[in-house]
Amino acid sequence: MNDRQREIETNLQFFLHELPKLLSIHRGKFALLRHRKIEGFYDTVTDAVQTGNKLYDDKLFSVQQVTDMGTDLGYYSHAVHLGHSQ
Amino acid sequence: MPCIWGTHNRSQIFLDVAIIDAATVANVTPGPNAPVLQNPPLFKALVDTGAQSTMISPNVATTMGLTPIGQIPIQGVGPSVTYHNAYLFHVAFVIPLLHMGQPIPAGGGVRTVIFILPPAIYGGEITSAGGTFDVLLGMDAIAAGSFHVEGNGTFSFSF
Repeated sequence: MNDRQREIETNLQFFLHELPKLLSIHRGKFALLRHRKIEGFYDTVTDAVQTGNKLYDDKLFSVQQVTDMGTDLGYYSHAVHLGHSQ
Repeated sequence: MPCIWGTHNRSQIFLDVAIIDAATVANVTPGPNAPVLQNPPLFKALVDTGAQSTMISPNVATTMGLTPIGQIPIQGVGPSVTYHNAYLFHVAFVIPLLHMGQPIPAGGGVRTVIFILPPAIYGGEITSAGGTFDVLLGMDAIAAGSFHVEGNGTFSFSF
C-alpha cells in the first residue's frame, strides 16, 4: 500500500467516526481531509480536489462526501459481491 | 452536438469509451495537437440507467494511471455499504472520421476525433461481473446528454 492509499484509508476511518456529527450541517458537501483532520468543506468534489492539489505538494489528502447514503448501482449492487463492509 | 450511434442486442447496451483523468482535461487546451488525448485506450462500457454513478474497473484505473481521491460508499444488498476507491475523470468517445465508401487502411490509420463528456465524473472502482466490461456507465454520465434506444436494434447518445 502506497502513502496515498494509506492516507485515504486512515482519513476514511476518521471521517466515518466523525460523520454522524457532520451530517446535520454539511450533508452533501465534500470534505477535504489530511492526516486525519478535516481541512474544509466544498460544494463540489472538483473544488475539493483542486484545493487539495494546490495546498499539498505531496498530494497526501483525500476527499469524502458527507453522506450516509450508499451509491445505488441498481442491478449491479444486488448481483455482485462488492467487497468488504466498513 | 456530438452524437454516438450503435446497435444493441435487445438485452444490454455496450459501447466503447475512453476514460480521461480530470486533471489531464483541466490542463489541456482542446485541439488536434493535444498530445495526451491522442489515441486513448478504449474500454467496453455497459450502459446502466439503474446505476447512479459511473464505475470503472481496476484495469481502467491502472491503465490510465488514475490516482484515487478518496473512497465512495456503494450500496450493496440490504443495508450493507462497501467503500471503494473513488476517482475524478471524464468519459470520452473516440469516433473515426470516415465518409461513405472510404476504404479503411490496413492496420488502422484512420483519423479520429475525441468527444469528451463535459461533466467530471466522481466514480468508484468495482470489479465487473465476469470481466465482461470495464466501465459501468451510470446516470451521472447518461443524464449529461440525450439517450435514445430504438426498437430496430440501434441506440444513439447525443450531448
